[in-house]
Amino acid sequence: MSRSRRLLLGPALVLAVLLPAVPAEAYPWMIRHGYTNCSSCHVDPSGSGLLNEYGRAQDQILVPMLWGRAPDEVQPMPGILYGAVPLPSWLNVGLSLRGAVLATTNSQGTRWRDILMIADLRAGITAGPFIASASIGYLPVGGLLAAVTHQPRDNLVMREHWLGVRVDDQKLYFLLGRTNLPFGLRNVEHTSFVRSATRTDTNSAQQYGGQVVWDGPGLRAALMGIAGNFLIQDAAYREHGYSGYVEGAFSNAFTLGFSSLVTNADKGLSSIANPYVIDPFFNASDVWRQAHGLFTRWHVGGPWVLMAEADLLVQSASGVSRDWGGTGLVQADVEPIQGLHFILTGEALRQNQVTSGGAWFSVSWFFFTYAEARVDTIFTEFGVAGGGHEASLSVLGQLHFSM
Amino acid sequence: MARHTSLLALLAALPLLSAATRVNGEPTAGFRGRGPGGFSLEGKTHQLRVEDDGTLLKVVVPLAGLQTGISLRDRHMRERYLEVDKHPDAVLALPWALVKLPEDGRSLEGTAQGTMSLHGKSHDVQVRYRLARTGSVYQVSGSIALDIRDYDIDVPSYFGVTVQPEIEASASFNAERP
Repeated sequence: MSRSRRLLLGPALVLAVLLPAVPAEAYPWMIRHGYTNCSSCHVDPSGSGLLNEYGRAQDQILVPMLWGRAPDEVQPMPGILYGAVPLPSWLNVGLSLRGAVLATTNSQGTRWRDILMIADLRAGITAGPFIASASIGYLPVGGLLAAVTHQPRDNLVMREHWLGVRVDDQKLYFLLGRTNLPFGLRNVEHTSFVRSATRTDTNSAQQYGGQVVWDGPGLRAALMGIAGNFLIQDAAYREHGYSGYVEGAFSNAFTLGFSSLVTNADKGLSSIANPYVIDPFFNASDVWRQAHGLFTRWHVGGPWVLMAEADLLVQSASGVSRDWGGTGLVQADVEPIQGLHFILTGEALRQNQVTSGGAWFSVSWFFFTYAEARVDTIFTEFGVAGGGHEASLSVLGQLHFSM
Repeated sequence: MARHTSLLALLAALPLLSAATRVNGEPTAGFRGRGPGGFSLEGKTHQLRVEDDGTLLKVVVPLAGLQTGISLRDRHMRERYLEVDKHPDAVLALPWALVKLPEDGRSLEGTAQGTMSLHGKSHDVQVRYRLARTGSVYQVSGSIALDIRDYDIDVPSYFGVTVQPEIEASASFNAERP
């Protein structure tokens, strides 16, 4: 492969993999209701995706707009499909559909796209000490790192599939399989710099490996030994290493955590979150990727929740100068009426000596049980190698059903 | 005549004694419970009063105002578990004889045996307390560990999550005691 083609492939892969899809659901703002841990509601003890029986009830009580009903009058429906299909307590099933229209304006004009982001069926078991979870879905484009078929488009994706055991009153978990990487905030904005630059989003960045998770009073932690993403056919691109976090809950309203990730691969995939930068580590040999940082969630009071993450990024490879960079995100989520969220996000990124910044204004409206409409207005100033910036304005409208 | 005078004096003094300790500012009382894994819940209210007859100090917490941050859970707590219409208050009674008071400008921590009344049942409990004194004003904080099963309260369980019956109840307030 010529050098010019390789240079183009990096940004192209970023665009192909990241832009067309949006992640599974994870709502770190649930700390507003005193939930500092994730396993109360999710099958995955670090959160995101399939809900358990308690989570499905909370999803009906705390998430949607109530349209005049008093919050204490909500009677959660057991089972799924608005109570039409009962489920035994050990079985969890979920369906997630998310479609969107994306308009992006930059110096080259405006581009419109309609996107099927998620069409996933999820199932899981929580029986005694044994737990398991798997998802299967269809994506017309994107999500290639989670694709079990290998077509240029129209692929089946399996983002997660793992087995586990939980012991010690559900405090200690051992998981084995393809799981989300335990790192930082598990925020839904998977194209945010903190998720894309660390490649720890819940869209398609899952890897195979083993995890030990501790979910105890006031402290949760996870450490994953990464064996690689076996859905990548060329083994040279599979990463090996670890990813983990430890997060302390200093009250039911404030947490502070530390994350760390180190991986090595014979050949590098792109971790560039800026499509205007050519990634020198893409296809380089013996690529080491590191991310270390802090994250916090804080229910300030009333409808206000603040979340933040800051990560140091270090990357090195044979024959490529070591790159020191960083990324950060600050997000305020205000929910003045149950079900209606106004979200302000600021983010920054420095990779390969280029600095970028962005601001999001999002409105997320859970207008009915299991149903969400969301609009994100994203302004980004991407740094350009050699100086200057390229401005981009994206408007993303989404309709999402998850049950 | 002298006996009558003493009796009248005692009757006149009783209201003063009952008002001997007054709560100032915004008091806080609540509980902290746990469930499986890292599940926890906190209930909190700012309704608290003190009754003091000179020999027994009672900390009274009306339970109807307890809030956990989720309205439906609050309703279940009030109606299904605490049954606040029948048992509206939690009452901690402490004999003054067992409570040490700090010197002015000092603080002290201690434990005392008290009686907790909740849900129509009463049991002896060990109270851990901290008192800090500035003049006649005392900053008071205390906590007790209790098992709700001892008070005939059903162990809450909801959609697969069961709360542990052992909880910690706590209170903090400023009190003025002339």
